[in-house]
Amino acid sequence: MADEHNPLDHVIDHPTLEIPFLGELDLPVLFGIQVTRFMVMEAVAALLMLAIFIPLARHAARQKVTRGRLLNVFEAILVFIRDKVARPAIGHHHADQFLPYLWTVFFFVLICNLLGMIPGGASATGNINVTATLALMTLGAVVVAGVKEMGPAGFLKNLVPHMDVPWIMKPFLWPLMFVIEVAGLLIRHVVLSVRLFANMLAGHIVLAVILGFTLTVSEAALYIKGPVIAASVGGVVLLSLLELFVAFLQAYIFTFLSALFIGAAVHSH
Amino acid sequence: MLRRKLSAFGPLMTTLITLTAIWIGGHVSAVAAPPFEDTAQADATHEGEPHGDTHAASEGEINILAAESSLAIYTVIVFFLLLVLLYRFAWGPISKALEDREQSLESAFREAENARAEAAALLEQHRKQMEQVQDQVRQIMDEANRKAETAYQERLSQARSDAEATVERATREISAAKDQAVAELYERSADLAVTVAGQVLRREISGDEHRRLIEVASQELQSVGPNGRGGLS
Repeated sequence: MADEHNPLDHVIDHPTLEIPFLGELDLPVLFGIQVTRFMVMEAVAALLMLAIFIPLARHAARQKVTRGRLLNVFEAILVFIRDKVARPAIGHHHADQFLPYLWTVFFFVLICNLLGMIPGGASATGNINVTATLALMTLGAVVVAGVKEMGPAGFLKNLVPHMDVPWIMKPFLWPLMFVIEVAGLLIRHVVLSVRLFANMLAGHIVLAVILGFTLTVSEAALYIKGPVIAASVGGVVLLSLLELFVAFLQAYIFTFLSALFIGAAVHSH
Repeated sequence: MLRRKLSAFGPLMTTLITLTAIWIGGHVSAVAAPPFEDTAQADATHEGEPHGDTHAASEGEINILAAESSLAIYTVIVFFLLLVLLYRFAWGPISKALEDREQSLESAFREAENARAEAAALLEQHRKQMEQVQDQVRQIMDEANRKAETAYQERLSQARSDAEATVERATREISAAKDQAVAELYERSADLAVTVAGQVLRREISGDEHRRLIEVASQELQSVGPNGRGGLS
């Protein structure tokens, strides 16, 4: 058991669901597609969001003042994203159009991140397929925002910043800049997906490695494995707190960068 | 603003179309879902040979960049459903409620400010009115005092003049009574003198002489008058 332990095993997708103290539950194959742990986690995240925000909306629509600690926490985050992320980055008018997307993406990423912190859970955002899909959606939002604001040609033209060069150089420079800017646009979104994926993956690998020390020393003498286990458990506790912070930070960064990219698309340089 | 569905769902449509195009255009199992993933994968993995849908735990070799198109498609569907449901049942009402609340707070603050200013103005007006009323009261009191003073003085002087007149009249009456008394006294004393003189002279003076003497004496007495001025002596 100790020899077979591989830290990466904790961060990849599995066709099973781990239930604390009970063991592994095999997930079924539906319509020819194997249901995996991350799929379940995404569904859990989605259901949690529905369970949180629909009552919050009912409450907010019914009462003028939001009461209750839990509702206020979520409402404060919503207002924060609206006033401190979306509106400064996109601008008041356009921000409200993309606010539903930003709200959804923030909480989806946040809850997916946090699900990795509970026993039996896993971070679906630690998988490149998930983050790449989310980044692709942001790219879609950027394209839609830009095309809606300036038309398809205007959007492409707007990619290239204004160049203060003699007119004779423009025909040479402009296509070059255009290629660079289009590549930049794509790279920005690749990086957006890789940043979230790598952060979540790395955090969980580190936790798994440090916890793995306990397995490595499990057959050693007590005076060896005692301190090692104590140190590794203590380290995991501290790093879990860091990981908790990273979960919020990465959700914020993903949302903030999405808002910035959308904002850049709707404003001319 | 939230009614413009195109903006919110545009990204999803784009993503879905992209993913479907990739799916149709290539090897469903082998190609990474997003187009840029291939490059990322080629750079980062040693083998450069992506396995689709690998659950590599059982095979010993784990590829963290393995493409799982089913997971990617599933993510899009979950996210899309989530966005639709939340958009319909949560974000719209929350957004509206937040804005309503902001507006009601703003108007409440504005109303409170107006009411405060109005109250201050009313207080100032009230204070001015109070000052005016106090001035008026003071004027009225002053005037009343002045009137009372004059009335008092008038009464006093009248009483004084009345008293003086009374005194004068009394003095006059007293002096008149005195004059009368003095006149009577003269008359009686003349009679008495005549009687006394008559008795003294009865033997020496005849009756005619007697009468003549009396007449002379009474004429002299009358010429002197009751006050005794002029001289009999």
